[in-house]
Amino acid sequence: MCRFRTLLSGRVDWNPRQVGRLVRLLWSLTVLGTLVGFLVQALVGARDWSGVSTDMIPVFLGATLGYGLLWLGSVIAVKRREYPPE
Amino acid sequence: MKVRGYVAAAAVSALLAGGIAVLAPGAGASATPLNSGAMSDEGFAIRGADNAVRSIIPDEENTSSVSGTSASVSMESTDRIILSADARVFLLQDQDGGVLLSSANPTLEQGAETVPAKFVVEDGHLIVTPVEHSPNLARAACASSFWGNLIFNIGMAGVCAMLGIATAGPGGVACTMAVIGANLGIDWDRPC
Repeated sequence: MCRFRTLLSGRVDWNPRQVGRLVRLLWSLTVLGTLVGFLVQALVGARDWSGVSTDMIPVFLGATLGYGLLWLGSVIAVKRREYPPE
Repeated sequence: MKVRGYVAAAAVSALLAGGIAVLAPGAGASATPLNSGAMSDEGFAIRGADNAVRSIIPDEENTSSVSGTSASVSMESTDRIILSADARVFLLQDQDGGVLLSSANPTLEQGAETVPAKFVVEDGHLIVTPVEHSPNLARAACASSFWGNLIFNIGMAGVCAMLGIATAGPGGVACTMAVIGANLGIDWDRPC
């Protein structure tokens, strides 16, 4: 949590570790926030309980793929910077 | 209650929603409506010569890959479903080859006209679909909405991460909140 606070107060560079932290924060916010939202909607009757798990699948997969690819991109970018192609 | 084929043909006609097919129990088999008051809604059970009961119950929703009307078929593991080459004759046979149920030349009502139909068996469901059958558009729409939702989340993950990097965090968090709002607010299942 402390790291996230530091992250929010400092500049994020294309450093895989920092990007990784940011990505983890945003992924957690997206997935957990949407899940909590769906559960609240189900509680108030605006959504079927049975549909919550189904509706979470594209959110979970999309967030994982999107943030995962971006993190992978940052790792590759750093590697290429460290070991430029000859 | 033993019912002969020609009697049963009348008794169980239009059992599947929309009056799509006349299903006739074979000789030695009997058909019983599950609810005599609403035969077409409730389906029926067939008791074979082996005394085992099979049932055909119309589905509330056709979730198969082809359009038309579907029904769930519950049968013994030794039973066989046989379709003719043109899929317009349906036979349900027990392990001895005895015909429990037969149906031929089904039709489907599409608006004001009646079109020739055929049988398709898929995942334990018997579907009557037009001879020139088309994909189940409702299911195709559901698949599109799934992929739409997935691509939206992939794209927004990229946008939010870039905003987060550019603004050192807050922009990404605000963007993520907007994505959560969109996920909660957009009815992706509407086309289904």
